[in-house]
Amino acid sequence: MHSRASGLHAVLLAAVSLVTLTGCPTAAPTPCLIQRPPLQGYTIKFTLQSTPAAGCEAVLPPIFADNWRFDGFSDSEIWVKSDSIPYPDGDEGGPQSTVLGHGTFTETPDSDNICTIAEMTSFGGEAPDLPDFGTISYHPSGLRFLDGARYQGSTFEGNVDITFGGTCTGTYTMQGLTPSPIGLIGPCVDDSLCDPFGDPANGILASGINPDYAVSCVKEDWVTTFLTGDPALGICFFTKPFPGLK
Amino acid sequence: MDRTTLRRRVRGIGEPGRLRALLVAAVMLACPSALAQGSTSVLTGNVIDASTRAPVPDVVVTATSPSLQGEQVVVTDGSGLYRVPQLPSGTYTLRFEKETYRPYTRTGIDVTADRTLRLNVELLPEVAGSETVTVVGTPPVVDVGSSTVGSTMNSDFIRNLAVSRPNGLGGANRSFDSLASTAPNAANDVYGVAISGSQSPENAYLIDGISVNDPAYGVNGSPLTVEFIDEVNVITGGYMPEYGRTLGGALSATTKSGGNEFHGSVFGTWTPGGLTGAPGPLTIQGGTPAVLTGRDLDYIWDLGATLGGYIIKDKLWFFAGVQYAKQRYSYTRTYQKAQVDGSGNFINDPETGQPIYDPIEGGTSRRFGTEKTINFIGKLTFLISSDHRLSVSVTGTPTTGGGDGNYPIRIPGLLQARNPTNPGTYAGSGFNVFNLSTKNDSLNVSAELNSSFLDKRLLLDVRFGWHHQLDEGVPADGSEFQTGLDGKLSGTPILITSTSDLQNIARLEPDVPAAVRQACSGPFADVECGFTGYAIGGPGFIERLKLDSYQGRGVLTFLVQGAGHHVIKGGVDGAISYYEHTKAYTGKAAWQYLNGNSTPDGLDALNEARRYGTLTAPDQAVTLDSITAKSKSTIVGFFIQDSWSILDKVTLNVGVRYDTLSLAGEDGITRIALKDQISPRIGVVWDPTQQGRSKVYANYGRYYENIPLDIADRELSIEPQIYGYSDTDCDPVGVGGLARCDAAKRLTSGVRPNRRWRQGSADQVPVDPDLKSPANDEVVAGAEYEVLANARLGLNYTYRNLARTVEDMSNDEANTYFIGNPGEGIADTFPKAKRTYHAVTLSFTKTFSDLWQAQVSYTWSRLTGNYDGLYRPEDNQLDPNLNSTFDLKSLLLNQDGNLAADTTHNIKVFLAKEFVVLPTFSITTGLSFTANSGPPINYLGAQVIYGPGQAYILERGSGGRLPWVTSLDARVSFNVRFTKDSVVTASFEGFNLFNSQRPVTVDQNYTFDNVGPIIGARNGSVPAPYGEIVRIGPNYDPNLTFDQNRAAGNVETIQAANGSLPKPRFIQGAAAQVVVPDPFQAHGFVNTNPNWGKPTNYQPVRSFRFSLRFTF
Repeated sequence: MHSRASGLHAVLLAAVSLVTLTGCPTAAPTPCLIQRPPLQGYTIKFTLQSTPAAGCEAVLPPIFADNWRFDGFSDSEIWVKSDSIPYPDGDEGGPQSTVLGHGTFTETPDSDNICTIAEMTSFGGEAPDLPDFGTISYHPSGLRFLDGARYQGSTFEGNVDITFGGTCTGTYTMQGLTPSPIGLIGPCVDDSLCDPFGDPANGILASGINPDYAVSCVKEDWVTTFLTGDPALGICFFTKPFPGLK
Repeated sequence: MDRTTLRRRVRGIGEPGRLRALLVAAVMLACPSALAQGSTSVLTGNVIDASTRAPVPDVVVTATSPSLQGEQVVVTDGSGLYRVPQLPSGTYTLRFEKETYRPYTRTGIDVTADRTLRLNVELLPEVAGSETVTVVGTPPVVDVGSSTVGSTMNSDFIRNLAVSRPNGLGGANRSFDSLASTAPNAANDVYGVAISGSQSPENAYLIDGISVNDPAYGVNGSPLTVEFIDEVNVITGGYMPEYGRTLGGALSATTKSGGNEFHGSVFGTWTPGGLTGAPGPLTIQGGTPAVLTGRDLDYIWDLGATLGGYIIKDKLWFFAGVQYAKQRYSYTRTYQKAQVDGSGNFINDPETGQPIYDPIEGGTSRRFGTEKTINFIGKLTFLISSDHRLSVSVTGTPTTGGGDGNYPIRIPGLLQARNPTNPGTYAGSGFNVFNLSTKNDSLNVSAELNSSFLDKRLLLDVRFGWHHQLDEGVPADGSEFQTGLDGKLSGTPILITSTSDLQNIARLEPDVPAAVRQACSGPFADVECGFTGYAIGGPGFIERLKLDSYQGRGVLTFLVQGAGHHVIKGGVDGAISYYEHTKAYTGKAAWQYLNGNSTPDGLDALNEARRYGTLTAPDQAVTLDSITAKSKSTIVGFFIQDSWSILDKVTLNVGVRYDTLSLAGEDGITRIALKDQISPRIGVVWDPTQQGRSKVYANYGRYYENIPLDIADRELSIEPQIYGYSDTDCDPVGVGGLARCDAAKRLTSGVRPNRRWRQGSADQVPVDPDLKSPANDEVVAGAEYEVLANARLGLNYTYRNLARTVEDMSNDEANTYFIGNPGEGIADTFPKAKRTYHAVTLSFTKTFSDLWQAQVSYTWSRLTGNYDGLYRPEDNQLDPNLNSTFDLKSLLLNQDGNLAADTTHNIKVFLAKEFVVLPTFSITTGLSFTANSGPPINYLGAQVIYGPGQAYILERGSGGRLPWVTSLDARVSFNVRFTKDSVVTASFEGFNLFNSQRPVTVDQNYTFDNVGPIIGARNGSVPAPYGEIVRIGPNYDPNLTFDQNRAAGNVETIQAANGSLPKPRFIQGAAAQVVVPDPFQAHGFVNTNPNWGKPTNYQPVRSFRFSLRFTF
């Protein structure tokens, strides 16, 4: 049996040699991803954290909402635009546009699958659909996207200084969700429309929201005031803070 | 050499220093395809004393053969066992010699590739004056060494039977893989031959042991002609650990070799188009009948020659061959004109409700589709010494198509297709859209060293190989990828006209016959000669694929005694493959006319459906002439196995192999690394006769897929695209069109960060970090018995179950995609991929002897699940591990059932007989009959995101089955012998003699409307109101739901369907509307497709091939 044992020994030696020569393959992590405009952007809930300055108490909403569209470019450059702030007349777009914010994304997620944008440039302008505010300006920072293959940046949190009407600035936290609950999925009347996969056998389309997210049809004031305009209509949104998992 | 010496030597190989030297050499050299080939067969057996029945040690056993350089000599061990390894296939003579015994010789032993044949011998004690005992005939044919299941097609089979039908897969070239469908458990599919419930891209294809799989798509990448092939070994199950990386079977071709005599052939074949049968009637699908197209074979022919012999007798042999093959089809366009009334409205057929079209007299045009192939081979076999043999072979199949005003046989995007392009493809476009020249080249280099040491008790087999492919479809004017070159095909973009507005074909197409131009000149010509979605301009998508696979393998075999005999093998193998994919759109962009209802601002627009480019910042566009992505895969594996002949009664095969696979996209970074491929195998073989004439066997094994590079090219690489809308009058097709349309580009968005542009495919598709390898589990069991000389009867059961697969999926209904394992990891919301195969085969095989041969089999099988494999049969999408099956969870509803390749009954009969009329003249006749029951039919509708043909309204396979398909083929050869080795053969082959035209595919689109499935329903169990035929009343309110309309009396149900979906029919001149679930409401009605269940493809028509051959 000595010979047989030697044979085994030899083959094992060969295998070890081969693995040593070729190396044990290891997969690199998924790069950081944001979801691009075809998903109609991220619907964002802004929650006021700071105490309003004198004279701004009535201006700064305690909870506000908007829809932002991010797009990615070479070298991890990220640009963003708010749906509430259209391109002004004569603004042909491009990097010089004042309605676009700009920041840099990390390349790969950290151990918690978080990708970050440390700070984005300020962007803003007239908000014709929100006449009470006149102009709105955003200065986001500390954006943290839940990433990796499973989430791919479909939600984020962060901070933002929002200036309403050019004078009143409040510091808000953000929680965003894509596909856009207001732009792509559309208003909901009950939780059935928030089902990630819908029920095509019974006439209910898929929401396309990641099935791990705790969402329901939210009809709170910030939704009906700033997004749907109808107390009977809500949007499918998180019921838990970031990362909003079930 | 005495037994003690042998044992000492065997022990010696265990000494670390010597062994390591050998192994390091093997490893440094090593590493291929995980299937063996070449000199792999074994003759073994026991030698006993005829009078005492005791084993006879130290008998000198000598194997000789015309296919063997020199001779192979071994000596029986103490138990009387001999084993002659590393034999190339051929006909052998064994001679047994020992003092005190009469010499014994056994002749006519046919050895096929990768087989172990047992030949037990009884030696007679020597008496004075005794002569050699020579036994002729009835050598064993049962492979007693393994439980491998399969069959072998050798040159007799190819010579005697009508195989490689000219109008079938690889028929023009008579490629080696076309033979595989004759094996039990094998069946043709769109891309090759499917084995045991898998699909053809899952097979391993080998030539002289080198993998010739297309590294990107898994199909056979080198369809070498059978003229150069000595035999094709089709392994359908029960592999040992030394084999791996396939979920299907193995199609292994061994090329011919030289010999100690000069032999060769000159041959030619001709398949005239004029003798082909008429095809069955096809249903027109899509578009309008303003243009009909047909395809007729003009001819297929080939000429070639081979020569084999020696450079140094018994030392250095050579074989060389070349074949030139050409095929040509006629593609005919027939223009038709619709009948209209005085207002220019269609006049409809009162029965069908469809417009009536009449052919335009003189309105016919014709172009050819052409392809030419050169097959070549060069092979050297060098016997370095009696223990060391080196073989080097080079084979290739350079192929060109199209050009000179002809269509190509294959087109970009479908360059891997093997059959001529469907004529319907050419109906909806001008010629320049397909004015392409194509290349499908392959080159294979194989070098193999077979060495033996210690009197053949230690074997070393080392092989290196290189498989190269070039596939391309580029403009025929030679302008290649110069997509900015105005005035050339490469600079002319494609434009698809409106898919909803009829446009006069005579205005769209400058090449229409004069009669058409005249007939289509009236005021209503847009209706009379109208076409929708017609493609004009240049070729659009063009591509070039360069594929290289570098392979190596080293195997050590030890023979050890202990409670019987052990054959211990260990080895390493591996391959590094590269895929360089260059893609472009002629004129830099592909355009599509969009009507306002599908544009953002509601205005008609020209949409850039495709343009390669990037955005460096918002609206800062860089257009790319073409893009090139280079992806890479690395596979490494090793194995160890013991074939233990327990007390020389039962053989136990046990072992394990381990593989790793890594894939990297164009950034060179490994994104997929699979390290979980542990493949245990265990099998047992018992020969009740102990004479090599029977076996009872069983085998279990796990097998892993060798994931092709397509997934790395498409999903681990970026294919940067930018899009935009332009004014409809910018004319992109004319000279300067791109700049003109860019200048005219309108602002498309007020809300996106880019006003003018959209980006597409700008990100890699992420991979589940816990990704596992696709795998099959397999159990085979059966028995074989030699019922006649050279004939065996077999009964076999095969079970295969897909353990998992890898696919791309979207966990959020097409918003984001990832690569994962359905049902596991981050795809745990998906059902698992299922594919289960059961088959029982009864077979009778007789090799050619006594002037006849037979291969007869009947297979009963069942194939169920929700996953067909690496391509999707409903639309033939060949994207291994990323087809659309699992893309969305909603696509999986109702997908469980009988899979597309589930044909319950398969009968194959191949019989051949040679009649010797005169000593110099014989006639060989071969008859083939194949029959299989039909596969299942589905009820398909449009899925709301993915469109037509993607949603299963009822459970998979609920639409009944296609009919049986039968074919009777025959071959008659007249052989005139001038000398012992000089023969002229004139042959006639007839395929599908009765021109049976049974459909092999039918239109499965029950509706083109969006549907929601009727969960869990099959015909007969469809709950009401689904399946009811409805008539919409004049008061039907489109603002109400179907139920609300029915409640209001606006809908009339005219017939219940008795629990079934009704067959589409016409009611009052319109296709029936039927109640089914509606993705937008609880249930609604859809317009049924009158063509559902009607044939879209028939079995190949009758054809005849004539051949003339001179062999010497």
